[in-house]
Amino acid sequence: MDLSRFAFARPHVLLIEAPGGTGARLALERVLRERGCPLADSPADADILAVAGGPLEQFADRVWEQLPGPRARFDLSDPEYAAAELDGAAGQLRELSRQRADAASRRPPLLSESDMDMDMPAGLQMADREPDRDGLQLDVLHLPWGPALPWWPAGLVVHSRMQGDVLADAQVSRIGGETPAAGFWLAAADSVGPARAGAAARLDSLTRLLAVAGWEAERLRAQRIRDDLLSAEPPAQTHQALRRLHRRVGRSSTLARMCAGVAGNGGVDVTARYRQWLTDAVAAVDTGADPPAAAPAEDISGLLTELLTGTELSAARLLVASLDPWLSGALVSGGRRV
Amino acid sequence: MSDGLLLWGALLLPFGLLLVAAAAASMSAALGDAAAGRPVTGLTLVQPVQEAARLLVVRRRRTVHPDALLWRVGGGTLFLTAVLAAAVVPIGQTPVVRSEVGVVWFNAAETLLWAALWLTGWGANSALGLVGGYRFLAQALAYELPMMLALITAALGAGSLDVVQVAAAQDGLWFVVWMPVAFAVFLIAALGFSFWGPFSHPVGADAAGGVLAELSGVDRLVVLIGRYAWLAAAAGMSVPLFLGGGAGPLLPSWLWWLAKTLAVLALLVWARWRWPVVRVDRFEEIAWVVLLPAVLLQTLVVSLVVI
Amino acid sequence: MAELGAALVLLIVASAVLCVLYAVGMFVSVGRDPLVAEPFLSGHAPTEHAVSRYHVRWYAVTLLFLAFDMEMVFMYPWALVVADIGLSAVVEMFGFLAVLLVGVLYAWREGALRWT
Repeated sequence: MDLSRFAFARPHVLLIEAPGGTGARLALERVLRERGCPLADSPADADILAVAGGPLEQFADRVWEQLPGPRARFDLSDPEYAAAELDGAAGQLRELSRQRADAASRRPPLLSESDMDMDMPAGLQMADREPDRDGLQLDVLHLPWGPALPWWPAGLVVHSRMQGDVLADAQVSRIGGETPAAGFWLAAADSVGPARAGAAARLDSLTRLLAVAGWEAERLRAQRIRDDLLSAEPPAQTHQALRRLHRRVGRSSTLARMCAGVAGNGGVDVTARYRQWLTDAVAAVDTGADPPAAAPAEDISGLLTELLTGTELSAARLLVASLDPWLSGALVSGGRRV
Repeated sequence: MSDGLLLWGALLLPFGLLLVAAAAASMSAALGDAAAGRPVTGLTLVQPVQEAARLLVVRRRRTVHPDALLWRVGGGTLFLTAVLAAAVVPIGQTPVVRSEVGVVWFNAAETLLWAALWLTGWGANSALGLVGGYRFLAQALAYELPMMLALITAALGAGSLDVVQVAAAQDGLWFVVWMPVAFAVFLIAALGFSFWGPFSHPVGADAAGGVLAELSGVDRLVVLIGRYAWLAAAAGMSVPLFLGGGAGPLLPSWLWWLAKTLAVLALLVWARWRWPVVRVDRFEEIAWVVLLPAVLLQTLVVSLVVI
Repeated sequence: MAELGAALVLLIVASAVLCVLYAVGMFVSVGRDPLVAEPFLSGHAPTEHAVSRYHVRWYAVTLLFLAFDMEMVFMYPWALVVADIGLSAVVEMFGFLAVLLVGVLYAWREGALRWT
């Protein structure tokens, strides 16, 4: 058997969403799930870099240079071509002679001119110390999160100063507008009805939360139900599968305990948020009407900045995922769903 | 056992361990495909081989100015210690290394994982690896003491630290029957030191792969093999400690051992798909305040029975 | 000494397995030398080296662990003699463990087991 065909039967894909790429991401996630291709957590694990929604300026280029190779990349803007683009990229992976040439042509990153400086090995300075929340002088690392990060709201960038695994502070900024996914979900409501679109939007946010919470099996099941709800003719068992998901995820005491008390805002924590999504999704499918979803705050970026400060990394990721519907614009309270 | 047999055992054991480890990976792949709604076929089961082939073709990579030596030593240590741990497990009746202190031996091999994982996280000179490595240390602080007590409880029941004698002492009544807490704690610890499933926080998606974040190619393959090998070694060890070793009717003892090992392994693999990741900072409290007293109570009960 | 000999053979064979993997990787991978890449930072350039003095906020747990771990080393030989010595061995050991456990409860009350 051909080695490369065998080895790259299930290429690992680093899937990043650019603003406006919701439809493309959903289409890609569906194809990848059906083919059993794993979604990579970082470029080191990836064979293919897929940017849903077109180029993400210099961010995608930088990540592209971190893929070990064999490597292939594509930007997908039209969901129609998800399978075709993936086939094309997988084909490139198998052309090993071309991949060898690509590997030979790559050069190490040029970080700085002062390569010889003893205080700055490889042109980078060592971590500096700054006071922490308790007034101790601690080493601090400057870590940016997003936009080229899997399971992360499109276009969101958080610049953090981290001491250990705590975000000492966070600056939130956006690339490409405040609610990049709103357009997609409005169009979905037009084509499959507001109830199914509303339920699917909540499940979409749930998949990101489950991914960040490290629950792969339920994440895959939630994706399946979401994809079925958005298809023209949902299979008969979709409704039942949704109820089962509600039971398993909604009542999981382990997940509830991991998310409890994270990002409390007016008595609503991450656990309360995802439980509400599940309840609302079931209600939407049951009654055929999309329940209103009030945003946790007027200024969602401001709320995020406030809540992120002083949280531990995994709590921060859960928090961002729990605000996903409002950060992405999948559920915009008031104006949209009337 | 004669010296000749001993040598053959030592030569074959790493490969046997690899086979059982591959079985674990196959089971996990099957559960993953089922969750994704894909048919589980023969191709699903060869997925570990496929993945290994992929990682062999993928180029290795290093970050800018890593601590390359420590990074690679950390990765290799995983598999080497797994083999050493498996050496004292009686496959049927006889282990490759028969030691009077086999239980302590297993514990000692496991302790090296602290260094292995931390070095792998630290060596990459990446913030994500650093977070993952320290997460593992915090996790180890949580599971280590309950696990040691679980090991001691089994040894106490048999009055011996020799794994063969521990298995032999369960003639008629398996330890799992009257030491259920110790058995459960051992399994939880096995998930912990294999950083698997609910205890995969050190390689969590929320830290973009943590310890694994910057690893590719063979380097990544070696770490993944080591992880599955530890799962296999833990399942194999649980059988002589709690499940009567190779005891069973009709079939030869090695086959009984293998069947029980695969059953425990399936349980460990299933846990990955059953539960979300348990964050270390939330687990620490549970481990010290619930698991530790519970397993201590178990030790007390067993010690009162044996006197 | 036979055990140590077997253990040595095991280590050699297991190391050989890893070496063979690296050798095969050398031959079939698309690039022999490792790629030098920046660490993954969501598409941003690094501004400093990541290796640093990491703030370990569970420091108190390590001390608690150390106290307990010293005790555990004594428990291995203890497990062998309990049946011979009888009740006094159990009373002494668990008396000591109870003291340690009180320490755990104290640390718990002080919040040492929670850091977020």
